[in-house]
Amino acid sequence: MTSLLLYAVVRDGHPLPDPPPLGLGDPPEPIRLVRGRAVAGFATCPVAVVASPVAEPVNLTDSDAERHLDILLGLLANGPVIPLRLGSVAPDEDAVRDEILGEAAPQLVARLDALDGLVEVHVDADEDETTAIRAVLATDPALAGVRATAVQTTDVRTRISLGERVADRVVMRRAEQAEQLLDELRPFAVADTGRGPMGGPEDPVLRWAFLVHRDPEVRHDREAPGEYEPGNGEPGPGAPRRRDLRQFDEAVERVRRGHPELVIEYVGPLPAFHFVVGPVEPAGEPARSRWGW
Amino acid sequence: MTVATQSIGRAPRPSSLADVLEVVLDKGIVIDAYVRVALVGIEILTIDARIVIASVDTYLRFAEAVNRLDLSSREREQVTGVPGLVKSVSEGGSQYKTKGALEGVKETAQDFVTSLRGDGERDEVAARRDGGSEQPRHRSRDLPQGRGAPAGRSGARSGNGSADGA
Repeated sequence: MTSLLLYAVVRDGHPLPDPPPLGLGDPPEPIRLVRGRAVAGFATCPVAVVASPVAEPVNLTDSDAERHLDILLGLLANGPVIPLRLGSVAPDEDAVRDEILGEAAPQLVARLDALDGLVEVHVDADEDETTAIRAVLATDPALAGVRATAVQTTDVRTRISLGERVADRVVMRRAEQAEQLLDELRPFAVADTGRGPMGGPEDPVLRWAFLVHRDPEVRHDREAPGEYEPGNGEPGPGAPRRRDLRQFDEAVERVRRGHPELVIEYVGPLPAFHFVVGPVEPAGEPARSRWGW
Repeated sequence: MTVATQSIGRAPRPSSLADVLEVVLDKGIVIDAYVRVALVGIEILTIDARIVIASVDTYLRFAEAVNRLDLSSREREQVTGVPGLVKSVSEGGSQYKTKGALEGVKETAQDFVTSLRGDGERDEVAARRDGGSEQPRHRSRDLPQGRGAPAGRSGARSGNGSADGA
């Protein structure tokens, strides 16, 4: 039995790559747009669903996850994308029309409009554990006595106690580092949110998602018309003219220079996985008019 | 534009499979009814498992690391003056986070005895089951009794939680 594997909600008429890429499943079929019927307030359904036929039972693998992401990235190049959960399967096109392209369509197109031109980037920061431990030992004289005792003993409880105290300090250090990074990056993002466990003794310092404008040109920036100057060098840390990808790149680069002790991974542009459903905490003034839901 | 941004150290997509899964799994909106989510084939996921089982092992490892550092006093002298360390935790957000994280550490320490009795294996099973769950992991994590994720971390993840639901 053939079903449809779903990838994303896009605007009706969203250009697909030519030729359209193969979808998931075995055998893979090319992706296509499933278009809806007319809905209230619209002459035609304003949104469509990207889908590909798939044979049941659906049995996805790791490489399917990679392909799913690649398909979304390909779609994102041509306009706003609302990702659907990996592995979403509909029995047929009518089910897609009923479930996604019916009453929900006006709300979905409003979100697509709000996401237009915005992309998500991920910043992950981590620190070598030995570096972190050295640093906290160097700045905590109170640990010296404990260390002296612990080094000479084989008692497991003493050693655990020392390890716990060091872990406490490392956790504090990571919290401070994360606050610093967020202070330095948030002014350059439209919105931001955490992405997973961080800050604990076994965690990275930061795993964060930021929403930025992909396009450096001013289009909808009613707040600061004409003030963005592409060639005027580094902006001050306080008031960037435009929260776009280029500015954010520069901010990340400054953060990397300013925190050589951290390994900072920076990935994007990605679909706005973490910002497709509201409400979203706006990062600052320019966000508010665009994120009103 | 593309040329300028590509040279700046931003990867267009995650480099490893684990990172791809972290980006893709449990993300995106879920539609109702007919449209179900089929994820039987993906063998995952180590990302969160280590969070659950980290406690006494962590402390012992940290203690070991301290001992190793002591063996080389020259190394120890190099670490003075690392920037940014003495900055006081003054902002409200920092205070909350730090406090929460410390509470978490203490909670896990109290689990020490339990872990020594061999309950660690159970923890791993719980973690593995959790990794395959279709629920957002940070909300459904099957924590062993008496062990909780640090409050500060849940605060950091609350944004993710609100964006994750459908």
